[in-house]
Amino acid sequence: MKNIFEYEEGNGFLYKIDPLIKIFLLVIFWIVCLYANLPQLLVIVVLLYATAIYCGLHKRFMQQIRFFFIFVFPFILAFHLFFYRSFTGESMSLFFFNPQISMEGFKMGVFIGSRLFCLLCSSTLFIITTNPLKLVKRLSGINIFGYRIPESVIFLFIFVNRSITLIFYDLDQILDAQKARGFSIRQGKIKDKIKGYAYLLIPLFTISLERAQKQAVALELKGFGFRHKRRKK
Amino acid sequence: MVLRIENLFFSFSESKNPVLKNINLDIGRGEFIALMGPNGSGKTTLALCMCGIIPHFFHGKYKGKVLVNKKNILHHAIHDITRDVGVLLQDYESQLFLPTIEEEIRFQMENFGLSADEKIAELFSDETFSYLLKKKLFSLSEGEKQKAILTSILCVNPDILILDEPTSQLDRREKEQLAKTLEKLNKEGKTIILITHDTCFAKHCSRFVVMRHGEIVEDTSDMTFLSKSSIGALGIEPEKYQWNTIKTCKSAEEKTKISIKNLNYKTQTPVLENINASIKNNEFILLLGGNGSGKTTLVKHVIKLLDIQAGEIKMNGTALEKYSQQDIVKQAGFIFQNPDHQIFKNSVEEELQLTLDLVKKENSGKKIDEMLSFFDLEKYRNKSPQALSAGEKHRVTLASVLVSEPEIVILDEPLTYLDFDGKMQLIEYLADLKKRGKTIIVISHRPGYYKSLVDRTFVIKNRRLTEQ
Repeated sequence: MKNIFEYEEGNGFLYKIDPLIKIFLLVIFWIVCLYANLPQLLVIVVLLYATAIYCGLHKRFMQQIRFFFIFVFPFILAFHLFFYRSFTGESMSLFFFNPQISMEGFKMGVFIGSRLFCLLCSSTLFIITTNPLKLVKRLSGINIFGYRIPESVIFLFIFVNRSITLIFYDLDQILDAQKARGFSIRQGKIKDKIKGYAYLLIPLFTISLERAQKQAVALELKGFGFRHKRRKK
Repeated sequence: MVLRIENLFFSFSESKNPVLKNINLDIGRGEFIALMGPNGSGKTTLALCMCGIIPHFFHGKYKGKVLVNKKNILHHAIHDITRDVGVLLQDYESQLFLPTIEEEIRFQMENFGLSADEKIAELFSDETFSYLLKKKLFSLSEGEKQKAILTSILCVNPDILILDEPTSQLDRREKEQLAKTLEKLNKEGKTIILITHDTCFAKHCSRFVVMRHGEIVEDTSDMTFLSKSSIGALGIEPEKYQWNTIKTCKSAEEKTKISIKNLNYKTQTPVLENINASIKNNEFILLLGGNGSGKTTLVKHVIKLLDIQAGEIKMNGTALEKYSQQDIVKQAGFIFQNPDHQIFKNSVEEELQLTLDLVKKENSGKKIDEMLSFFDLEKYRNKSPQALSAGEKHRVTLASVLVSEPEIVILDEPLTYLDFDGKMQLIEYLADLKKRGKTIIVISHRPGYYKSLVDRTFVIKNRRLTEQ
């Protein structure tokens, strides 16, 4: 699973677009997704899929879809299915949830899930087709009337790019450890799957936070701060 | 002097206790130093002070002076110091950010304002390294990753090189290669500071600095230092320590516990080919092999973490397919290399209770008490396992697996994160488990530690399993 969000060289048209133009197009795409209704979102999903096939990314795109439907969509759907009325009905309360299954909730869950799917999959298409070093160089080189992109923003791009792969490596290990203890998200009864989701958070958060700190130290050791200082001159 | 430390004290912001106390150290150009000591003695913290990460990145109460090439790190930014001091972190995976090594080297050099083209061209002409440059990160072995990071650090030509536990993930062949590289660099004039628990590796050094409870307790250039048995009291493993002093009386029974027939497994390329083995009840099996040879893949088949593609595995005479995952968990416990991956609850007691709930064992309170006392974890009963040291976390994972009383215990590289005391404790636990009649399989690069316990040793080489 760890390689499905990692950049690999390829020949499709997405690989050839300049990273900055790609970021610009991505932001426009996100805005369109945020204003689209359900039928329009479904058309966008088909378009995303067609783009992935055209760029030779069919297999990885399918893996991403699988990931989305295992780890993201169930939460979105369940939340709306049970709690939609708590937010919209007359009994709306900030601190008390009254779970009520509703058809509107189901529809809203599908709608929000589709929107999130478009946002996530377009972002991952950007990540897996953009060379991170080229992206850093282009971002570092931006100079509009003496204004430059802050170091922290560029750091965020490098960090996110690498972290995604490492988090998925850890996720693989944690899921194996869960299965070895007797519960699994991937298979088994629904009860076991729910346990698996509940027990995923502690190890994943702990490892991710520790790793984030180590990566920040590693970037300092690589002289990343110096790059920024030179740019300022 | 390339490095001088004067009266250094440091404690992290969130802690009252100082991690470093009155450190005084002078290091000359071209020295090859082993910085040793038990877990938590302050070795890594001292290394972070030497490269400016402390106090600029990690803040706290800092007193004293650290001078690198006569520059006081307190008055210079981290990047000014890291031009002179290269650091290979223990978790070196965190030091890789880009998809290929070529890009990694370019990134590092360009950060420091150096042109990478000439260096890259030079590395491409080096037959022993050029094959690595275009390789994808995820396809590299541990040794290759480390070599790649070391090369990218050296491209900036630092005077001092600090390596934090560089051998913990390496197999014997990779260790030998690293030792040769470091000796060559040292001869070229680099000052090398090696933080290690590995006494065999430390013997390449010419000076030994020992830390304990945040203080330097020994600083010697005596080349016989590592072979003295008295260093055990400092928390360091003596060079020729006899790990076979722990005797186990119980020998393996004739009844077969696990049988593997013609097991094959492949991903894009074959990983395991025609594996055959029969493991008896109460047998202690040591599984050896280089990094990436398929050791973990093989044992993952035994506990059904991987589906069998071809061949057959039987447990207690019944095919593995007939067991549910719950049945396997009752039969076999697997302890992963990194304990952080298998801690799921907020307290040690809850962690053990989770296993018992999953396997539906009765008398859970009594069993938990027994395990906590066996692994000396009573005092941590209500503490979060994540807040414990590496060795203690390891004991929690062992206890949480063994509380369900599985008949088979499988451990993947259990010594990786442990110091001398931790290793001794673990070997004693394993001896006790063998006495209790458990079947034990240990994956390791270090056969010497298990000499007195092992009944049979298997080696995976070129995708095949052979008995040694």
